[in-house]
Amino acid sequence: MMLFIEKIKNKLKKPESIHIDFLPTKLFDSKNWFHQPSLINLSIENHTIHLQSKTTESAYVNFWESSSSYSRLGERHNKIILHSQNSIFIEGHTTNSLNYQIYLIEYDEENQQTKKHTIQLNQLHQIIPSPSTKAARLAIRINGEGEMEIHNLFTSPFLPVERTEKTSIRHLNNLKFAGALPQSAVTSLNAVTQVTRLYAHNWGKTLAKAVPDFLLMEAGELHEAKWGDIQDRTSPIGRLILWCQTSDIPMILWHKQTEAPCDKLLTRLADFKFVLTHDPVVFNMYKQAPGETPVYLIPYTTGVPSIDVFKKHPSVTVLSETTAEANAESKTETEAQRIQQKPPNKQPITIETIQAANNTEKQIEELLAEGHLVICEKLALDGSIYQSLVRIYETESELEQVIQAYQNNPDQAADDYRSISRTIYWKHNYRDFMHFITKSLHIEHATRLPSATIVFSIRTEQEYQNVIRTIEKQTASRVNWIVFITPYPCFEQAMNALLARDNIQVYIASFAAKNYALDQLTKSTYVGVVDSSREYDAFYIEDCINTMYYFRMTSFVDRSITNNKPVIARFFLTTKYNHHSLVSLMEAFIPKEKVM
Amino acid sequence: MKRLNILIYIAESMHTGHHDAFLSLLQITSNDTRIKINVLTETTELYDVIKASISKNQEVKLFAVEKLMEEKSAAINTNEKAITYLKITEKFDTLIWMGPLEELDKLTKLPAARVIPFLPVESNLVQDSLKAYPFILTDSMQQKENIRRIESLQEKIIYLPPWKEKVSAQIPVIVNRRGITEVYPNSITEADDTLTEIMETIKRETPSFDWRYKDNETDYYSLDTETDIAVVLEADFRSYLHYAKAGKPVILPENEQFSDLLGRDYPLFIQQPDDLITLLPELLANEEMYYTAAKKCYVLAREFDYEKNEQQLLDALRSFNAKQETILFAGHDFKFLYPFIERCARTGKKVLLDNWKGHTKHNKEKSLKLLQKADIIFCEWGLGNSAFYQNYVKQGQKLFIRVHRQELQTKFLKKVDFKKVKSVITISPQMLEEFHRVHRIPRKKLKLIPNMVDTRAFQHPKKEHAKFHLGIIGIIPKLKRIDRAVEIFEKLWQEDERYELHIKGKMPQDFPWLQDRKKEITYFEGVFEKINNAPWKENVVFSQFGSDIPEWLTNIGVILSTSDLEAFHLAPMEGMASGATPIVFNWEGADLIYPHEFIVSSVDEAVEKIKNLEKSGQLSEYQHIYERYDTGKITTELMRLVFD
Repeated sequence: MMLFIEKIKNKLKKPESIHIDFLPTKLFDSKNWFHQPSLINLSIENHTIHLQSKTTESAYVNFWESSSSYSRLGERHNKIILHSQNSIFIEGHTTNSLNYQIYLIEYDEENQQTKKHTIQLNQLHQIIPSPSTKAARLAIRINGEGEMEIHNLFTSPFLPVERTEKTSIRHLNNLKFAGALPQSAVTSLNAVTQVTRLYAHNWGKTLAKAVPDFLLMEAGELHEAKWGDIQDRTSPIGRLILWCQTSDIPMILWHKQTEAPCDKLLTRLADFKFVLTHDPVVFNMYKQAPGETPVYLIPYTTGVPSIDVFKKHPSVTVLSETTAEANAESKTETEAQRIQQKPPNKQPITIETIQAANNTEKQIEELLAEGHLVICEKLALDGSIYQSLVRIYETESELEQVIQAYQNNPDQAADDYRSISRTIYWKHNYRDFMHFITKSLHIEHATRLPSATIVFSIRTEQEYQNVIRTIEKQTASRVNWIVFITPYPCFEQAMNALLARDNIQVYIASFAAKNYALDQLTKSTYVGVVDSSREYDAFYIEDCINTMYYFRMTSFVDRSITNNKPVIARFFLTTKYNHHSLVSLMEAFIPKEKVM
Repeated sequence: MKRLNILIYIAESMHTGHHDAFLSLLQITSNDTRIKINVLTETTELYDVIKASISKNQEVKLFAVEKLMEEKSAAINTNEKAITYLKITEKFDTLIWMGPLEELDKLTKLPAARVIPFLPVESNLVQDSLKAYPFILTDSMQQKENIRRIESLQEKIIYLPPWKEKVSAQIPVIVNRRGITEVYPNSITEADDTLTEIMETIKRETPSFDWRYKDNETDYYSLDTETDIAVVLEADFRSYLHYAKAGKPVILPENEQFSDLLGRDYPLFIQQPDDLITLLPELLANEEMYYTAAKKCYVLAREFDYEKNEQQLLDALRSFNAKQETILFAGHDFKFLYPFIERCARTGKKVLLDNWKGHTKHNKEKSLKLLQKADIIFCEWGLGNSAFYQNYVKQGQKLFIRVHRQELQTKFLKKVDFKKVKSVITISPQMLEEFHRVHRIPRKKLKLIPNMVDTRAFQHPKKEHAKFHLGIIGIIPKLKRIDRAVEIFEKLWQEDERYELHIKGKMPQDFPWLQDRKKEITYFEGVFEKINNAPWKENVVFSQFGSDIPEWLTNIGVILSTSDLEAFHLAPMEGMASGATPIVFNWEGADLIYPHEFIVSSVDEAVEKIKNLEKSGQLSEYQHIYERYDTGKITTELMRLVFD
């Protein structure tokens, strides 16, 4: 009875229109459907429309307007407003004996039919309205005995874009993806791949230029108003999601920043292929949300400090809770101390104190990216992640000791900075992050971890000792060692010892230079030519190779060891140089006075 | 080479649980041709089982007590009688006893000093009865550790590795990069939800931590698949070794076996999987704990190294057969090697010589007979001798090949399977590289031990006017470039008639093979015609080939090496040792042996250098160079290489 009254009310209402964007929500409301109960059973439960024919004759069910016959359109004309281009996808099934036609019929101002579309279940249809079309109607005709169910309806104001399905890519460089991301993430991601940043106001134009393989949505970006409400299909983010769905472009929700519209996101998880987060609390929250969208707990991701500052004495920044004035005094005092206490023959080190921001973590990440070694009070940090990315202190006297230690020995600051960079390479890097995404999307990229061949040139017993000690303690795996010997007194013993080693190739330098090309000696990703005048620490080669690999560099000179003496270490991508003769490489990469 | 004759007795009861150890024993001993192997079983049934597991290339004589009783005599009806019978017929030296210890005690006719008992982990340690045996074998690392704790037995115990595990002697770099933990066994198929939940709990609480079951990478985060920590929940040595030898700490269930081996204080024992919830985060955070545990794991893993244990077992067996080592020298020309041959003989090695008549001519029968007697075969020159001996050398014998330069032009080394060669000795850096480049000799097989000079033999005072005397030793073939020597001398004589050219060595007519080379003969005729027609012909002095070089050098101030090609060229080095100045043309590799001050690229440069000798440095500055090649030093290096 109530339903009957509702329908009468609907009939009495003024004619109105519905935008196609809202079709998915209005479709599953029984008040919006009109039919003859004697011919058809219609019920809507659990977001499913269930139709059952009672006759072998054709019977109609109309959406939104009550006309049972299209020829009587003039009486009522509640219609659907279309976009200039539309996609529609209706998911459902029928029993075999039932015939069905789902019609979307376009009309002009005079209510004359301009175009008729027959929609098949489970097929994406593209609707480009006729120029004279003003609106459309939706109706279902069934005949024969049987049942029909509609589970879902998807509409978008876009046509599907043409996209080549990729199951593998050769290298992260060839991956195309876009994202609604903070600038720090864009910068960091661009170190390992190419990302297109999307803005709320022009994402459509951006994506039209380059169709991405997938889309990465950082949850914190939605916290700001510019992307609008994710539940609103007409908001920028609502449209972006529709665009991805229309073209079957996977969308990944990445919950990195603390502030994000979690409540709304939880209701829209089905729009995403999967969710990534490093936060166990957030992880549990998503896990408990209804639906089957996978949620992965991943390590915290941050950018590796820029190569320009790698190994140089870093700028040290102390994050302080005190006021800016106090900071200024403190800074002056610290610098004065530094000048006074600067040890002779040491590179000066800059130590600066700045006000800690409300979002300390974000501030640290930005400082790290700029090449700062950050000193921060332990209490200012939530959780343990950042503790391994900064130098922490608990008391003021401890802070003073740290600063003093850096002033007295700037190399210590450089070592701490390298150590933090290494932690990021190992546990928090964007390359692993991208690898995980491509793997999860079954886009296996063929990038392998790099291998390296490190070349040493030795001509004295001391250099031999340096090389052996360096090689034995290196942490880097996937490394081959090549030693070029220029004879010196009793070099034969060194030669025989090296010949017996599995992991070292030793050659008479002048012979190798004349007779071998680089590609005869190595197939490694990188070659490093490292001076043997000194001994290197355990992580030296690993740090250099990681840096090259991470930043996709083709060559790299370690400047930190060139100070005051003709010592040099150069690394290069083998394929960029393998057409060069070995002798020319040696001349290019070893200082003149050391050329064989 | 005397072969050690051993008898391995294997009882049925022992075979059941220690089949792998028995096979390993056969494998190790049969790899050494200096060991002759007999095996005795109790029953015909076990005889058949063992026969089936012996491969074709293993020389093993197999006996069974039951078979001996049937075939030989009904009286051979006990183990003791069978062993006594084999002692007489097969004349074995040593018995390896893989049977119950109490039965071994009954074998009173065999001296304990020639018996090695096998002591599995289930056997009781009866210290007093074991003391009498020179060695004890076991296939249990736990048993080995138990015995090692007994002072009187600790030197005797030898581990018989049941499987081939290679564990590098060099400790791997221990570093915990990502805290990636691998859990073994793979519980995916066993649906061990509890363990999965435990690991996921740790991951939720320690987000930078990641884990996986072995061989499963589905949700694995890092691009680098290297494991940092292992959890081995079934106390299985193979799985343990997989991680431990790579320098990774292994979390293990606490049991007696691992407690004995790693010590009760090993920090990574757990009682139950729940313990992982506290232990793993602690291990991730505590670098010292990580390092200590990983180091302990590696040290134990090293004990399992197959090669190390194999060597220990063979050394033990060879000690029953302590005997003078025999070295066989084979080649057509030993003139560069005599000091080493002499030293071998002088230091008590038994020296055999197989004198070949040329690159390929030799008495095959005699060579094979000599080979049977040799422990070490030393082929001087990589010619037909090397190709021949690599064909016949047996496992347990060591084959060395010393190459000079001539072999670069011959094809004999192409036929050599270098897997059968212990080392290829090259005599100069240049030759080492050339032999690798030309014949693809694996670099790992190459050794650099230069030619040798008896430096003391050349240290005599120079005669008057020696500084005006140029010397050259050996002018055949053409590539020795006597024409250059004559030209240098001629130019010097034109400025100072006191200069003389002394030529020592054989003449073209002394070499029959040279007569067929018309170009060479024409070349030499041209040089000698020039000498005979020159006004300075009286200043060219010829000396015959002979061993009087030290004396001849007393009259030489400048020693020439005018060759186009050389491997080492002893003459300039001998000249240096005598106090003469070497003038060496820049043949490939000359700069790797001789000081660059004495290397020239033209006749004019050589003339200028000789004229300005007074201005150049004293020869004594280069004493360390010729002393480097002193016979004493070089033969010591050869002795070390060949006999150590």
